[in-house]
Amino acid sequence: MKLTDTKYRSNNEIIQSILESLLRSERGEPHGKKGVVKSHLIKYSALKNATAEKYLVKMENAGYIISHPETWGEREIIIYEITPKGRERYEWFVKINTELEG
Amino acid sequence: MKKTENKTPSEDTNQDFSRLEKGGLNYVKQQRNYLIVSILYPVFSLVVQLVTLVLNNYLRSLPPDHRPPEFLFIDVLSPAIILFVISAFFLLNAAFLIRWKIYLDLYERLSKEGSAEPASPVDADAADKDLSSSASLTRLFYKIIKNMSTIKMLFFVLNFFLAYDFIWFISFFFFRVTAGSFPPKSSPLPPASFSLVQFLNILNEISMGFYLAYEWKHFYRWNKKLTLLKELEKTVNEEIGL
Repeated sequence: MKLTDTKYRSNNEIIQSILESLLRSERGEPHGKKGVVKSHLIKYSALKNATAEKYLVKMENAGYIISHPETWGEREIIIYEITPKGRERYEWFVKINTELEG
Repeated sequence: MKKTENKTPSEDTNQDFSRLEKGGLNYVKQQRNYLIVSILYPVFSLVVQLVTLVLNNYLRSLPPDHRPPEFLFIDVLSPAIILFVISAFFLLNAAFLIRWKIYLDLYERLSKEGSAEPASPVDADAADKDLSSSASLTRLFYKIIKNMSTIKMLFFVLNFFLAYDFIWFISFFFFRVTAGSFPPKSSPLPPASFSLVQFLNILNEISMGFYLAYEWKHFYRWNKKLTLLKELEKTVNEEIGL
């Protein structure tokens, strides 16, 4: 099924928001610690769990983000990181918006 | 000694995002300035149309002996219509500007605090509406795109009214005034008042020309940007497989 421009836009708003959240979180880590806990990422991206899950899986499959489990006390948490491809897509998005006059 | 030579990858990332964010905020402010400039002409036009409307209403209220013989109802209706349309356009631009400023202030405040605002979970299908509850650069950009789409559509409609206004202006101030029926010779209105209104209307039409050229140039560039953005959105959608 062909998606409409509005749907493309809506999907992209969510994808770019997730990428931005990951980049923004990295900025706040001065000691080289990378990645964001999944629950925090969902919260900062302002998405419902089911929606975020769908996008995170697809973004990981596309190579935009990677995840790995870590232990935190007795619990296991999932950490997400942005990949160079994901960073490139976000930068592309920002550059189109900021560097072209209009 | 240059400190940048010993940067860690994390410092690179921090600087990369800060650079993107700085560029993004500059762009958002540029767009806000565009809105302010876009409001200048409608404000001037509002004043001119109001003065014209008052004058023409006054002429219409004169007894038949003092009223110009070719005075038409449309001479009151035209400035009234343009006044209404320009007011609506101005109010809408002003509303966008105020909403924009509130959202930008919120974003800048949250950015200084070090993180985006954690918002309540929302439904993806209602993302357009609910994502506004969280401040981020991405959402600021998409807000600009949505606002600009609305402004563009209204601007096209405004063009028709401005074209109508131009036709009326030529017909009223040049053909009929030149024909000698305005202002009526026996009118108690001082001739200088009519000359002032005529001058203001000429100035308004010249300003309108500049305003339209500015807006058309802006939307031409905007459309080129939207084309590139659509390409990116399509690429991302294909890669993600949505």
